[in-house]
Amino acid sequence: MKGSIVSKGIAIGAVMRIEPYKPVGLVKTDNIEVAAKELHESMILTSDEIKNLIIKTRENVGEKEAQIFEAHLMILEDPTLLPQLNDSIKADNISAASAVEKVLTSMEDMFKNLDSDYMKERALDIYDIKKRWVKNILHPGNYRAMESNSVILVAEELTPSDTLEIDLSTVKGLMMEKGGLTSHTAILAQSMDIPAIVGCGDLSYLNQDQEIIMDTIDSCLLTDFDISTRKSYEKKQEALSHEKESLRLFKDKVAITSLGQKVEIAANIAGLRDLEALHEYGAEGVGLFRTEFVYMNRSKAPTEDEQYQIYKDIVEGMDGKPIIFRTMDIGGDKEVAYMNMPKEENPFLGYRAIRYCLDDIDLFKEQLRAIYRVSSLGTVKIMFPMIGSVKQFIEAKKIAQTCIKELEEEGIKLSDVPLGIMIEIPSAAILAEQFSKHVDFFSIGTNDLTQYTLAVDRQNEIISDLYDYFDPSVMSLIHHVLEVSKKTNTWVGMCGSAAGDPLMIPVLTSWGIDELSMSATQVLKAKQTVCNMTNESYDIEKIKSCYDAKEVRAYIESI
Amino acid sequence: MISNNLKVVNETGLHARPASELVKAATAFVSNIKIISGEKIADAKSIINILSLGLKKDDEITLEVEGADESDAFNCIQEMFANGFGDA
Repeated sequence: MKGSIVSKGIAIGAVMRIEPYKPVGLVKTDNIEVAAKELHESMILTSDEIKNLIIKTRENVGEKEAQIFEAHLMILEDPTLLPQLNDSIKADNISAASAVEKVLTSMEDMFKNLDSDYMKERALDIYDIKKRWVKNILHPGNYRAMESNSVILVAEELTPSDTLEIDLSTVKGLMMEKGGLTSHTAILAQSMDIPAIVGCGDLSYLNQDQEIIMDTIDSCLLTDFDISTRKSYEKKQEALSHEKESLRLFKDKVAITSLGQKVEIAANIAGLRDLEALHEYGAEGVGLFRTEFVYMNRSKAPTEDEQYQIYKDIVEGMDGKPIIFRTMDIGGDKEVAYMNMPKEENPFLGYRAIRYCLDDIDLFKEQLRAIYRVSSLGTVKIMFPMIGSVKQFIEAKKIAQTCIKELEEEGIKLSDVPLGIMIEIPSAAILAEQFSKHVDFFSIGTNDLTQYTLAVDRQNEIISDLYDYFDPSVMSLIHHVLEVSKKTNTWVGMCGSAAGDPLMIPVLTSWGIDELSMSATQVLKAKQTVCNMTNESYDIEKIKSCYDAKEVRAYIESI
Repeated sequence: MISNNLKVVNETGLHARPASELVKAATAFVSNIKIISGEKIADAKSIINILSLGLKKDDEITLEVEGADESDAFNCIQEMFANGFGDA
């Protein structure tokens, strides 16, 4: 099944096609006055309809969604619009519907041609108004009726009002030919928590009322199936909703094994908007704040004050939970145009992250100062990415200490901020014990650690089967770091995909990890996994003797 | 008539929310309020006009106000631009 998956799940239901707008074309009229009257009346009807929709949406969906229709109302009531429409009726002798279509279509085109994705999406708002208005001229008061009580919406692209006029309680799934993950519909589907997929390409082969099964977990679509297949999917569905229910119970729980070993379950964030999910899923902190996102999609680097404001909002939004700032990891696959970094043959092995920061000290200091300035507002830690030698850490620490000194002289209140490193270069893992004498904590970054240990570019699809953090060599490095941490009493966490993997979590927990940081949606499952543990133990010697990652997985599964 | 050059300071430019704030504010005055960007002239009371300018961060515009309450209107709108419509 092609497309971007918005939310995972299984839906079984009848296809409900939402057909796109059918153009009216230029319909001539003999009576301009009747047309003008029709125009005026339909405008009032449309405006009342939108006003109702605003109220309904505010009550049932939310303020943000209601604002979409507030914007529609403002466009409809724009003082320049009605005169334009009346002029068009008079000048071309056309019907009210044709005039609305003609004028609003040219407006739509104008928005589509603006060079901003945001404005391009506004074209859809105009389209929505046009559709509603034309419908109100041609068939006043004709609302869509809904037949079945479990339907899967199929459309080329849904407009916000399409989705709101339908009785959503009957909608079990959603498929769209066009659209991206940030479209209105995608956001709505996410908040409704129904399986949805957008950007599927042609879906014209799906007929109205045809029964289908969409599975966005295994990414497949069944159009022709027997009763037993249907039954097995119903069972899967039931199991899923059961699992969801039981996972919810872990939201406010601490991840603790039956032997009393605790693991902090944290989330990775890229900015303020990730905090909502963090709290919703009960993450106990942030184990990785990817600060490079603060630098991206801009024309120049954010100033210290701008960063201070961004970090302040985030730290305050944590409600006292701890947060680890990773200083910017720019370079490699994360390009930032205004930094003028040279193109490299091997960007992952090149001039990135701390390697760059230690050269551009002014830029680095601006970030560190901004972080220290918010340190008294919560529980803040800092870690440096791509550290490969003790010397690099000492250099970075010196710069951090200069910032502290400067800020203290300026009379700014600071709290103690632990300084740690990402362990993502094998050299740092191997020399963990030497590092432990200097750093306050470790965070193992498995994505890069795997790529560097195995010399496998993690973005190269051809060799993607070689990339696996269960490889005995990677497991061995992780085990080594955890042993060193235990011995030297150094706090150790993990961020990266392995930290959220339910197969990996028991291994890490049994080896004594302090914290696991993952995507917020994985938090509940992780808490459950830890809580279900008793006294499992995993023998590193057995793992090291495995031939490959597959064998390691099999060994772990056998315990 | 009062006129002055202003700069868009909001991070995301004059997208829907700031644009509608601007229109709401402009509508409260009787004066004629124009936003000029390059060759495009927009009526500040028209959301369609304002959005069609597609103003982005750091774009420069000319604000032109003419009418009975022009100085009040001018000050009000100039201030809205300066504080980034509340989301700078």
